[in-house]
Amino acid sequence: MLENLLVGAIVVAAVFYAAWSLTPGSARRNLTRHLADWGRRPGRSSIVAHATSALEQAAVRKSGDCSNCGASHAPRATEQRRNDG
Amino acid sequence: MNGQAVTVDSMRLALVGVPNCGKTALFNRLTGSRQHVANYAGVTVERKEGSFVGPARRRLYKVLDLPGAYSLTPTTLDEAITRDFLLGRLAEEPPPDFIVCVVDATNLRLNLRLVIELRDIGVPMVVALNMSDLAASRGFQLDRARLEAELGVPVIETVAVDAHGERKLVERLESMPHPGRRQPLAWHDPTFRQIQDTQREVRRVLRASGYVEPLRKQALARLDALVMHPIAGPAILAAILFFVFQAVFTWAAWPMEVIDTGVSGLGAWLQGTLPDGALRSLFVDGILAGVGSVLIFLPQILILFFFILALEDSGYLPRAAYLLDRLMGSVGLSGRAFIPLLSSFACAVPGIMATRTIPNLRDRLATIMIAPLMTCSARLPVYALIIAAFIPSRAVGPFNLQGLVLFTLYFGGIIAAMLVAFVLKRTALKTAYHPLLLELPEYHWPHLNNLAIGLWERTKVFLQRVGTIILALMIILWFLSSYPTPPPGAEGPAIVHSFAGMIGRWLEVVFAPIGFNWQISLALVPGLAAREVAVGALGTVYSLSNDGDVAGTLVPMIAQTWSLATALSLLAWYVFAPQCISTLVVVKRETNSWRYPLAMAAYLFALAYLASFVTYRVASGLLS
Repeated sequence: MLENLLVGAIVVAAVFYAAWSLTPGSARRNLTRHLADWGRRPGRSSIVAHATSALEQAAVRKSGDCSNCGASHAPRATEQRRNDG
Repeated sequence: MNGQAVTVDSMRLALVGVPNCGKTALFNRLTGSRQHVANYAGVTVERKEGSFVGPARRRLYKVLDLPGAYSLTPTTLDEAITRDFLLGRLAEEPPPDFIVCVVDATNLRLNLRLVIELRDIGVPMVVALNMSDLAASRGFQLDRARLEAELGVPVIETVAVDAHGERKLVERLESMPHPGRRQPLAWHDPTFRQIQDTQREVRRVLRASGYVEPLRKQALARLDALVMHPIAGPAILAAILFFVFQAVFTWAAWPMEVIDTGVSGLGAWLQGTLPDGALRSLFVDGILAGVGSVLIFLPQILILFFFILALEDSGYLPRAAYLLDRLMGSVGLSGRAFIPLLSSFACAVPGIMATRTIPNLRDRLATIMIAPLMTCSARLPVYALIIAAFIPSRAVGPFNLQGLVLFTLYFGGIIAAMLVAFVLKRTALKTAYHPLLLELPEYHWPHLNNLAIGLWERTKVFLQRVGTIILALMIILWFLSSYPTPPPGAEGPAIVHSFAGMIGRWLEVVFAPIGFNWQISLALVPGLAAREVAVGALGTVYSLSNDGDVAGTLVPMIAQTWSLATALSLLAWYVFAPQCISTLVVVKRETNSWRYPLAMAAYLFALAYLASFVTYRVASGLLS
């Protein structure tokens, strides 16, 4: 039973992470902004407010699969120069 | 440079200069910014601002690092932004109080036109003679005081890559009173005759300043004559590429074996330690079989990047661009497409972003559309897996057959890209040919430090991907491949009855004509997230198909299960393979339309299917 729960938790975490990573950044930011607004409404517990706010912050950062490709090394060459003089 | 004191006096500085003059390095030196300094196109497209407080006056300097520009007559978006900013034409961006024009002391002939044009718009300015140490060590001669007098603006020596290399510049800025806000003078794009006059003025100023360039070493001149020769040049380029792909297979053999042994050993240990159940299956068949199958290709990726970095650092790559320009021009591509396409060999995402430097929209769209055909590093694990399983590692003359096949696949991608460009440039994206003019840097030995840092960065990126998105997708795939469990009395491996088995069989209907079984068809789906995930997916699926087998044995498994025709068909598929989701998203962002990413996905899918179909049918016919 405990083993199945552990496996279930790992799978759910993987699904959440993959969905988070593969969602386009703008959609992720919109979603988390709405969530954070909802979390800040009066009557919500501070834990919910903190969690939704942290998600909103995280959405601003780059994440996931190829979003770090820009940081990966791409071969470069000296830029082309125009010579119209 | 940042101080703590509150200041009342502030000055808005604009850093201006031609690309590669060390402007961004000076910006980092002045502001202490942690921004990465890189040379490839696109890095200074965005607005960059920093600040520092001067040590003497406690003046706050707000520094803007403007995109590189050769003159105030723009040919690219970058140059237009720089011109408009300096002339106060950008909305919500007042013109700068002061300009720091950074010039490369080893290339003044090219840099001074911009200095003269900036002087003429009337905004107070100082010239930072950057890389002055390098110029001196290479034997360039210049009388700085004479240059200052001829230009009529202060000229300060800087060495942006050295600690305190900006000191003299800051001292000079601090010694000056605030110039006050001044509107730039009117600027009109110069006529051809006026440009010629400016160039004449550049030559006069240089002569008057005692500027003498060192004679080029004869050996380097001879080397260039050989490397750039119309016949010997392409032959040398082909030989270098040949050698690189040979090395990718031969040098990587033992480190790959070490990783394989490690993964297999860990799998056997987990198999013996954990009790039989879902958790053991998740670790052994899901995570280890999937992630291990991708991890094993790290040595090959690093060897490929070692050569790319070494060629880049040595100054050879721009020469390769020059050699390939004729080929690119013959299919109607702009010479400026070379750098984005070269970047796409690492990943199509930065390659597509680098197309921003192509001024003509149609040229840019054509380059974006073919960028995914360049073989990105994520495809290397797929190629390497299939080649290792089906192509014997034997010598063909002085070459290794596996390396030859890999070279052919990379070359196939380039040829396909050229053919697609040829069609696009004669139909939907017709434009005139724009010639390529390149600045060729001097040759030098690659710096070991640069190589080590580049390889370390690449390793980090690869391991990060393996440890995050690939790991997550492998866990999901394991779940889909393990549940639901087979009904009582069911025959065959459990995976056949799972969700993944069902999805695989639906997809098999589409892919059976090109020789793909349900396992391959299934692996293509997570491969859309990142191409190398397809290898991990095959690892997981085959591990679960082989009841109880230990991870790390994917190569013999597929060698026994697939026909050679299927393997060749899959290789053909991956030459054209529809790109990953990230590439599509970037294309949408860069073109501001869904039309282009959808058209790209459709044409690549059609080409991949057609190529695989022909390959499979021809190979099946010949082999039967």
